[in-house]
Amino acid sequence: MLGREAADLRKLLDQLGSFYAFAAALGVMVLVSAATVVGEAWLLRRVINLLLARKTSLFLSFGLAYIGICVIDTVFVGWWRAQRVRYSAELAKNLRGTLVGSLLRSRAESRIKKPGEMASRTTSDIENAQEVVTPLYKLLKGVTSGLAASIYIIYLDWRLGVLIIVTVPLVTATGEKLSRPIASLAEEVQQGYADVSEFASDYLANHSVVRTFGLQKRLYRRFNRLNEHVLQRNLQMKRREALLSAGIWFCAAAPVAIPFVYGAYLVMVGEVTAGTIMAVVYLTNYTRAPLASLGDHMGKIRRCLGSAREVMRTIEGVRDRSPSTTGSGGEAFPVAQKKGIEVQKVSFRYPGTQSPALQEVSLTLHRGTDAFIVGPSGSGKTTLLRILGGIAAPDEGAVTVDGRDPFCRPDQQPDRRPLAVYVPQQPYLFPWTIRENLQLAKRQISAELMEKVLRTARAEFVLELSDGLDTELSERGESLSGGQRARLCIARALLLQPRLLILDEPSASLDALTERALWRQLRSTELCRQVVAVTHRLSEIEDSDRVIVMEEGWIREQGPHEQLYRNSPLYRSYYRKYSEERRESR
Amino acid sequence: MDRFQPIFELLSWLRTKKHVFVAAIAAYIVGSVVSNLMLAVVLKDLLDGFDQLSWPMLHRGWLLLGIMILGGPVLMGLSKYLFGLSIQETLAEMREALFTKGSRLSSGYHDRHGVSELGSSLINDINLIGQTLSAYLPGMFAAVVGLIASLALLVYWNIQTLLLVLAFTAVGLWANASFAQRVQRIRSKEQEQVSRVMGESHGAHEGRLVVKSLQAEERFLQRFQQTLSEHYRIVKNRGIIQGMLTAVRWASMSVFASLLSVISGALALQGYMTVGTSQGIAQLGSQVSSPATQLGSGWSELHSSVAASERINEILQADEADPVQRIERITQKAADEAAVRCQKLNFTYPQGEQPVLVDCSFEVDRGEVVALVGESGSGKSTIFKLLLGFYTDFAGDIQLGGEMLQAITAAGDVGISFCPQDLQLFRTSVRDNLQMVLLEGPTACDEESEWYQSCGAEVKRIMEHFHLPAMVKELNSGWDTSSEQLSGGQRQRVAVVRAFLAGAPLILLDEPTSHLDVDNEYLIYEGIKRLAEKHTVIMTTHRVVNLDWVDSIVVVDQGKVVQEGSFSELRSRPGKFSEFYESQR
Repeated sequence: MLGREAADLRKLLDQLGSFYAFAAALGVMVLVSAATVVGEAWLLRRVINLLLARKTSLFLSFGLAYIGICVIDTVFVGWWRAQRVRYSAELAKNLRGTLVGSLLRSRAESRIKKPGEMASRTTSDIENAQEVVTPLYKLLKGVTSGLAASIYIIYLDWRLGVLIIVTVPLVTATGEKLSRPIASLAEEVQQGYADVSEFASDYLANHSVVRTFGLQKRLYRRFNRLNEHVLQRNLQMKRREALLSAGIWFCAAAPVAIPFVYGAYLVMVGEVTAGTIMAVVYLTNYTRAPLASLGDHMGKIRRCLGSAREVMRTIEGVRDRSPSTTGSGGEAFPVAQKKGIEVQKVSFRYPGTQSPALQEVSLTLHRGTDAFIVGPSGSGKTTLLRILGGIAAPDEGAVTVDGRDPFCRPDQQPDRRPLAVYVPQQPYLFPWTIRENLQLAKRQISAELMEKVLRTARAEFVLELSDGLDTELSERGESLSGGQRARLCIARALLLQPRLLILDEPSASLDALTERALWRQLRSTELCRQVVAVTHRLSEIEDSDRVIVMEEGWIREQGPHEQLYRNSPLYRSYYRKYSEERRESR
Repeated sequence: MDRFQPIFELLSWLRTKKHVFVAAIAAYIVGSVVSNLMLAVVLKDLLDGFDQLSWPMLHRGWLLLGIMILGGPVLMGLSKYLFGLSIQETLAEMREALFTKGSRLSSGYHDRHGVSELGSSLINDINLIGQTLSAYLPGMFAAVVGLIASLALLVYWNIQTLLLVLAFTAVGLWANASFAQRVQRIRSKEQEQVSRVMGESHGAHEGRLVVKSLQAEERFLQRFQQTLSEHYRIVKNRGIIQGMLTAVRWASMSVFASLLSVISGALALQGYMTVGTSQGIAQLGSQVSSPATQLGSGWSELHSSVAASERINEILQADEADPVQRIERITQKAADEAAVRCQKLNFTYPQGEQPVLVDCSFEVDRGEVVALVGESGSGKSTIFKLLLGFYTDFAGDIQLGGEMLQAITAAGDVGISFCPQDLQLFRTSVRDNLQMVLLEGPTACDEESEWYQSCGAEVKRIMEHFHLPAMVKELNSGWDTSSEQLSGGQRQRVAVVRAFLAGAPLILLDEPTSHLDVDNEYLIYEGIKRLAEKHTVIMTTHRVVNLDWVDSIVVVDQGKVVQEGSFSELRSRPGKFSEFYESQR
């Protein structure tokens, strides 16, 4: 059990730039604090004895040494505090870096459910995990100083030593034990609070129904039951706490009685010196501290390691699913000579799912032929787009764009233009300036290119903002409207000047007029040569040379709109559905 | 005196329990002073006893030690008990007051503030006040008393060292404050950087596909590393300042004590005081500086709970809704009179600027099923809210069963049942949600299957009409399934059934089929049709294709009634309705 925790701890600390530097700093601090405990006790004993012996000059010099050791202790305490903050921060920094790194390098098809939630969870996990430095130090220091103090007490006077070493842990453990049962009661109280709060918010959220059905009295009675329950539990807890806290305070105060009563007696009969008693009083604190908080620190370390494990699991979970970055079938099929898109018998299944998302999909699109995909949700439209965009690799079959694997990086291309860029349905912008968001695609953007791209994507509105391209965006870019974000995302993709631009339902965030204008621009631009899109916009579909109808991962029909409308009942049913949607949205 | 206003503000919550609370504070103060100061006196007596080999001195020390070890804990325990007694009941009363107030708040208040605001005040703010009253406030009082007692003891023992203690404490406080301030400054700078780090890390999660599709992984990571390093640099600097702050705090305990011990020891050697006194002073000195810092931090806690108390007061003083909210039960009384007549309704929401209803007039006869048709935002739901009496400051007349709405609501029973668009099911079982609106019928049943059996014939008939028992049979826990586990369509069915179960003569259904597919829409419509003879039903919808069965249709556009008539009439006439119909066919 402990072995596994040690392994986890080591794994976590390996995230630090240098594990050994940390271990050395920790070791030095633990030893220094044990040494100063003993040193201070030794000097205190000397000082008191010299004081009582009225030896002025010796008293002053030992007194100075006593002050000196306290100063040294203080310096080390301050130094270590700075180190603690530093190492915690380093841990967090490296964990965050590793996590985001492996996240971005993972395969796109490893679907991450609720990424926002995952981000908040890992954030708080990392915040917990980085705290491990403090309890680790306190645990080691407590044990070391406690041991040193115990040994020194026995050395000073074995009778006092034995008495203290037997009783102090006993009393301390009793104090610890006393505070336990409160924990379960406190949990009940917390649960009670949660119930009250949940009930109240449920009540308030449904206030219209409460009022129409006249439920106030009935629900008020329920609330009162919950509230009364919390009150009674609370009172019960406070009563128990009152008794216990008396016990705990007693256990904390009692150990000092040993040196002060029995020790004082020994002084009076001349067996030990007064200084010894003072030193023992001082040391008794240290024999108690580690025991009182041992469990506490261990618990904290466990919690930190628990969080660390979560983070590591996330990192590894993402990493597991990131094998190759090149397509699987690129070499298996001869490079097509034709310009355009060639999809041959592509099948694809998302990891951890039963039914395939794409089944033996084949498709040929000559260069310059724009295509629209229609079909119900879950029919594989987005998956096909992602495979064309080179961010997901097919399990079987092959995809080529202009004769090349879409996984090819732009620097492997003769003209340095990427083959295909996929624009996801959710227009996502980062909380930076607009310029920085665009620079994600291309670091150096000439004014001419910028102007052309903004015009083509119908994103000229940017220039009318008061800060223009340097406008700071809020989280997810939500300070802009959905349509504005979508246009900026398309502009960002166009900056790469891809041969193939892939749009996933731009109609979801664009109004009809803007989309119309956007398509007109995209047809005539030289920024991209070909567009494949999922859309519900009938006017575009009607004009299109190629409509692809998908269902349950298969391509059911394809061809120009006119032909499909005449021959395919399936396509007609979609067409009707979209036309109904269009009218409703008007 | 203004400075202490917050303290009085908080104490005012205690009202009836004031005396118990004062006793608790007194016990706390004496207890903590006994526990903390007595050690210095004991130390002095013992050392003087050793020095002079005087047993009586030693005995006095032992006696004081006994008082310290036994008396302190007893007093602290007592105070804890008294605090619990005085504060917990007050907190429960506060929760109750807030909840009661919450049920009386006007619809306008609910429009302005979210639900979460009141919910969080209910627990968090109230608990914060409780904590301040039971811990921070007594802690501050005890610190003040402890400080005064320590200083008095120092004056009594040796006045010269008092000056030393004061000087050292002042230096310590100053250093502490200035470092703490610097840490605070860096922290606020750090906060900015933290939100940048968080923003980018969230971005990496949520915008992962964007980065990948742009093939910008390395560029993004580079930038992220830069942000991380900048954050790390700031934290590291903060660590250095914090190290200094810790050193100052540590020094004010250990270095200060050793310094006092040696200096007063030297004074003792010169005969200014006894040896015991000198070490007692050393022990006492460190007791002076720590309460001083405690006072500072206690003050800020005090302020945050005063803010909490203000939030609570604000809610308690918010405007209440009109008396209509006190309707207790729906009765059968208006059953025969449930005809609705709206004349020239004009209404603007309290927060809004645009009028939502403009001269809106229509009539519904008893026993009719009427559909209000219009686009979203046309004012359909607002008409319902006025009929229900949620807003009373409208112009025009609403008559229900020949009586003015205002008169009915003042009397306290409207007799309208309602299925809101957001359904508003409670997060309890299906059974509980339905049970709640039944006038009489089975109460608590242990066996959930028995529940349905024990329902009255009429209740069963209504549920059968909507095929609810069949739906419930499919659920994992039957009637005890939580409403949260239902699908959108299932929830909608439960909410519609609930509206019929209440036995009200007039039933308002706001978009009752919006979550349903065509089959389920048919099922709901069938149910309404069969129950229609006993009730007057008004429902809103924007799907008009399947409305051929309703008695009449009212078309609302931009707050006005633009068309009225039967399905076939409206369909053949050119206008808004036929437009809808054509577009949805």
